[in-house]
Amino acid sequence: MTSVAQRACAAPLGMWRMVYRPLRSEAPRVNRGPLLMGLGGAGIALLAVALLFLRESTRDMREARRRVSFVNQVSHELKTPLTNIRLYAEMAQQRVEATGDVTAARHLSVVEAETSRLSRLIHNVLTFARQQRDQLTVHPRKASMDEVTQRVVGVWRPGLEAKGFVVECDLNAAQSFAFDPDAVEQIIGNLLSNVEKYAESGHFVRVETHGDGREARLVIEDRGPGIPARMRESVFAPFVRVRSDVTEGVSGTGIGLTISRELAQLLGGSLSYADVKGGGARFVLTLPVKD
Amino acid sequence: MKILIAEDDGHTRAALCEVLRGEGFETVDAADGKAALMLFEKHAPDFVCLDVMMPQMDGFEVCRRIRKRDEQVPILFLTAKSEEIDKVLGLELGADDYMAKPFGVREILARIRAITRRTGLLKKSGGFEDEFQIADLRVAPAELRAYRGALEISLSLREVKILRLLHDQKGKVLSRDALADFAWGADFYPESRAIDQQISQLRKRIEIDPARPQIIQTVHGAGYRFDA
Repeated sequence: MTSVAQRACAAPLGMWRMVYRPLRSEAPRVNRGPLLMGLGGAGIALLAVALLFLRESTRDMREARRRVSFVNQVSHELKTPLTNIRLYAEMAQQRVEATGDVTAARHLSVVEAETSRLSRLIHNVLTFARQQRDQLTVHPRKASMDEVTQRVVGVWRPGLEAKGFVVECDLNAAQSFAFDPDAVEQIIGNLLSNVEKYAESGHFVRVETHGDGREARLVIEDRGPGIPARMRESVFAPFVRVRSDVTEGVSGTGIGLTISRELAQLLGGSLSYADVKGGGARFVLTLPVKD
Repeated sequence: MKILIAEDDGHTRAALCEVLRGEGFETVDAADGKAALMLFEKHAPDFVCLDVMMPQMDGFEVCRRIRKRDEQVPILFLTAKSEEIDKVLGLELGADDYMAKPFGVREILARIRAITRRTGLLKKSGGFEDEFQIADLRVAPAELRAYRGALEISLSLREVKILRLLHDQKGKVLSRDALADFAWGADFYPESRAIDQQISQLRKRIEIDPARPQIIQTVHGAGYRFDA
């Protein structure tokens, strides 16, 4: 150990010498080895856990992606046979109409209606899958809201009337403007499908369109049980279905309203719900009128 | 008017051909992209229906190549995927419209009629441009429509042809053979039952009371007649 300073002592201690040493300034030395090892170990363990999680989550994501793409693939594969069923059922229907075979005509109309139901279902699943991947797009082009509405109501009218519905249609939005007629067709189809499923007790549906230079509105109103107040917003969330005696046993995927609202919003518009005085549901689709 | 149908699924292809011929169009059909291009060269069709996913060459490529030769001919895509729709509309392919699968008979016919109307195709293909009056109906062949006052009636090409013949041969009896030659074409021999069915459908559209027809009268054992 080296001294910092020293000094000879005066007599009678001439033989002595004073040595100054600095006081030990450092903190007492601790043995860091075990701590470092512990920390390192914990770090490695953490890293391992993180890696494991990452692997698991990428595996989950891969798995989810694979599932989505499988659903996609299957849904697309269903479209060709579905096209054929529809084409041939309609061709047979035309023949049957000409010969006047009422029973065969009724049977074929069931095939046609069920084919449309399946088409709608596949269309909704694919739209939902696209939305989940943030790939949902709309294709605005010039069209007339009234023409689209009339076409869809025309398809639904026979089925609804057969179930005892009175179908009223009041169209006042004939002007052409830029929107996606396929998307609007899908929205109206989903709304009418809900009417058919949940509002049968009301035996009534009214479809109205209104238009001015600023916006076009489509209103679909029924006299069914309506939607309970606490669920008016949540019915637009995916997989949410109103649970009651009415929906008991009624099939549905719970994505119809979700994608309908999403499509309305992609078109710069909205889809909202309001009650009908005296009972019933009222959905309002509003779209901005653009050139 | 001749329509080229390119679609790899045999049932869909056969159905489209049958439906379109039933409407009075001529059809040629191909099961893959290369064959479609060859038929396009050979027949110079007035209208093209193209499936997107086809063996040999996909519909997009067929469309591009057709457009290099012909900028005018209407092209209708038959698509199964939304991604394909994005492409049809996004790329400058020069297609006129698309039809999303699954589609039905009425939908595809309505779409083809709308495009032929929009592009004025029937006027261009000639012979049908003049409007004519038959009883209280004004028939507009280029629109594939007839009008009774404000009422609008959609017609098929074949129905327009039948009305035209009845109008031109006013007061004369038209045999089923004469109708078949004129409205179905020389290479196509419909059964007489098919002709009667066609007339019965047409009556439902244009007669005020189809059970007591005023425009198309049946002449038993001979055929049909329109009396002024």
